[in-house]
Amino acid sequence: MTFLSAAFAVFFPITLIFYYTLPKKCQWVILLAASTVFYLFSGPKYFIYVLATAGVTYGCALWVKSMADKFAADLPELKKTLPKDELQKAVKKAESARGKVVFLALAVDLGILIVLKYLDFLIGNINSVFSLSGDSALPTFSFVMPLGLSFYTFAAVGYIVDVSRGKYSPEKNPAKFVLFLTFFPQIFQGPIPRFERLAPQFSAEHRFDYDNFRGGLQLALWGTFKKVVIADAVGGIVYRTVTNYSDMSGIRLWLGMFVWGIQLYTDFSGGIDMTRGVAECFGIHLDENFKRPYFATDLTDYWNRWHITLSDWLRDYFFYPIALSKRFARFSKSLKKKFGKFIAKTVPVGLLSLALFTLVGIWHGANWGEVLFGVFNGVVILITTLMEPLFEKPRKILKMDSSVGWHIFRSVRTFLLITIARVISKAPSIPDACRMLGKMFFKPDFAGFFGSFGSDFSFTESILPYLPALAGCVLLFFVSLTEERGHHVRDLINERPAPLRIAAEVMCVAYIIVFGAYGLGYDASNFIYTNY
Amino acid sequence: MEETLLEILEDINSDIDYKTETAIIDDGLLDSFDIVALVGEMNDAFDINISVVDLIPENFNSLQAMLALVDKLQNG
Repeated sequence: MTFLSAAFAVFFPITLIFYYTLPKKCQWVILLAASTVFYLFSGPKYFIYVLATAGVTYGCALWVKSMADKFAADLPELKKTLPKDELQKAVKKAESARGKVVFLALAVDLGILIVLKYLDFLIGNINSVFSLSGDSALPTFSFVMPLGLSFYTFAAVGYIVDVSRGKYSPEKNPAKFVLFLTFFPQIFQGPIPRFERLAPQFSAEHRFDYDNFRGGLQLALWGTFKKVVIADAVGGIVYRTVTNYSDMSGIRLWLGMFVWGIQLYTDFSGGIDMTRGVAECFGIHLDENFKRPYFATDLTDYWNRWHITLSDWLRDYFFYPIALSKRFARFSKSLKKKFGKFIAKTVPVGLLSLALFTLVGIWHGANWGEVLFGVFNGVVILITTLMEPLFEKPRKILKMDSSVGWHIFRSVRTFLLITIARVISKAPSIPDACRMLGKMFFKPDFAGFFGSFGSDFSFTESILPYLPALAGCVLLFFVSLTEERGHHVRDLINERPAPLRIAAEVMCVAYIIVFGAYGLGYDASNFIYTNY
Repeated sequence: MEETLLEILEDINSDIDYKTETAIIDDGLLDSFDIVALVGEMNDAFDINISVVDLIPENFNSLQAMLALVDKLQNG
């Protein structure tokens, strides 16, 4: 069942009716029941993986908390009786014991993720490295991944780490914890939830609020527009670009990969808009996952705007824990003594950043294309950081930072860089990616490309089918530009007189119905990020 | 303490008016490279241990917030 399926058209209103008519105290139970039904639709046997992750994480979190409470209760007495060094040892011993419980939870949670998502990739590489084939090759398993595996695993890992840090108390009700991991709008493709922001909303009582409900539907409608009118309509262009690249000119490949960038953004952000819109109908507000990434002025800025909940997760549970560790501080200090402040500040963090982006690549998929996609991003960011001092003075002297032209140049440059990175991850293989990039840079073939607009060119066949999507892109650009300037388009629409607002909503629905990518063979379930 | 912290901050990024700025993190004026360097310098200068849990915007959005954090970690 997906947001755009007939089953969801029945499931959603029924859930809403139960949610708002039954006693408010039961609302979270309705959401849990709905989320369970929703998940079981994706395959009952996969629910066992979710329950395993939920059970172990839930139990370990309570265990860690009880250990911390017991030690805190004993501490005043220990302070009186033990000398300082013995006390420090006792503190470290208690921390170590709690660490082992956290490690157990992480081993199970990440173990399930690694086995189901990455084991075949590892085995394939072992077979390749040791030239194992036929009967001597290690077998692969072709596991089918449970729905939302990466998303709920990351949510569970964040939860157990935060509990161990004492950031909040663990959830006592196991059913509520299962709801936190499986809340049905977000299980598809995130956003990766944070317990401290989501769980209190499940415990709160939500009265039906027409404005809130309408706002949720508007957001879901806008997401549907992006997904159906743009992303699904241009998918064919991307498919042909990747599969027939050897017959295409370099300039055609650039265009095809630009379209892939648009498709990926409208598919993923459209899906997230639907997710957040559906959740808002229940009075539940999920974290934003996108802030107009194609307006970013460098790759760091881009990753602060694209899939924000993943970037934030990696920052809080990978980057900062390592960057703030004593070992890391010692490494920086040793570099400071030998090479000075700048190197000490940039090189260790730059290398850590490179490791982080490699993880971003691995998260996106178990193949070398995705890994290199992450490495490319990390390397570019590292080089940019190292070279920054060279450009700092000229930039200030020429007052470039306040120049609109410079801003546009940087945004275009960032879009080109991320397009190049996406060639690496989208091409069928690494050699294919190299050949595609070779053509894009060294064989643009402008004459051949524009020559194709000759006598055999058909406007009706080549351009007309994509005009609605193109118009949709223009609308998306102006909506994004308005939001980039600090305005909320939904608020602007809702401030208008009712007839104008209703007209805008009806036009959006009509546009989706008339120009959406429907027809025989259409499958709206294929959200690109669902597979992650 | 305030002068020492100001020196550290000026050394990391001298373009920011730390005496008036109240959204240093929220407005993205310091990046992750700056924050890691800042935390390292603050730990050394004030003999404190800033942990990941302390890394929230409210603790680093202004000079006063950072001073309050140092005070809390030294005396809390």
